Amino acid sequence: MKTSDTVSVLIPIKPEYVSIARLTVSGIASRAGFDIDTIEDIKVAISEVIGKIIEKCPSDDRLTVDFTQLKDGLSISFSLKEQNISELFNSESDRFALAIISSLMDEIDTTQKDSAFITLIKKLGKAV
Amino acid sequence: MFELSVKHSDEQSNIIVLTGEIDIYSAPDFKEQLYRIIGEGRQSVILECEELSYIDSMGLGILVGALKRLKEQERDIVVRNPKSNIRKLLRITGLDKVFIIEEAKS
Repeated sequence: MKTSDTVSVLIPIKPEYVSIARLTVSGIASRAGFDIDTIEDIKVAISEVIGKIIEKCPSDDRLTVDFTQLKDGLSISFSLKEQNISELFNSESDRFALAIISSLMDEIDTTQKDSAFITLIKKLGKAV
Repeated sequence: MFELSVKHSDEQSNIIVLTGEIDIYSAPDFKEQLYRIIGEGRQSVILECEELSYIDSMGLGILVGALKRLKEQERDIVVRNPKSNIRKLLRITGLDKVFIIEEAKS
């Protein structure tokens, strides 16, 4: 996987498909050079994001997850075709999810960029 | 895959074995079973987590809800032998200070 190469996964917004995204990121993060513990952290973080999307946005829409290799890490962006989510972590019950994602990833960007409404970045060599 | 089974129950405690993954898919089943067991008993709950490989924030929220119910009756939850990845999530969320966590007992 070369720098700036992107792999995209398109999944239904349903609980039974979260594991597909987790399996996919395992392979991609491994190719990107992350160690096993960090790959686990990335899997946990993207599961939390997708879980919140399913909670806040149950619909027939499909979720696109873009995995982009960076020079110093991996970027993971989430976008929906038909709608946007402005507040993914706006309630008290979301605080565990946000704490987990913030702790395990290096950056969380919740500003809208193109069609992505949240982007996570994990850098190489910065295990938690 | 997720499984919950009652290993032992006496007047002091209800020992529950958790196996597999608690995520957004299995969380409703986990909640229903755990709350039913809590509602039926009068003991504290020991969760044996040796075979629990993953729990997400939804699962942690269910545990907090269960603990609130138990505390109202001066009962408690003990998280026994969590794997290192689960211990890490408990630490990140501050729940390692909320639950009683026991190590190395079978």
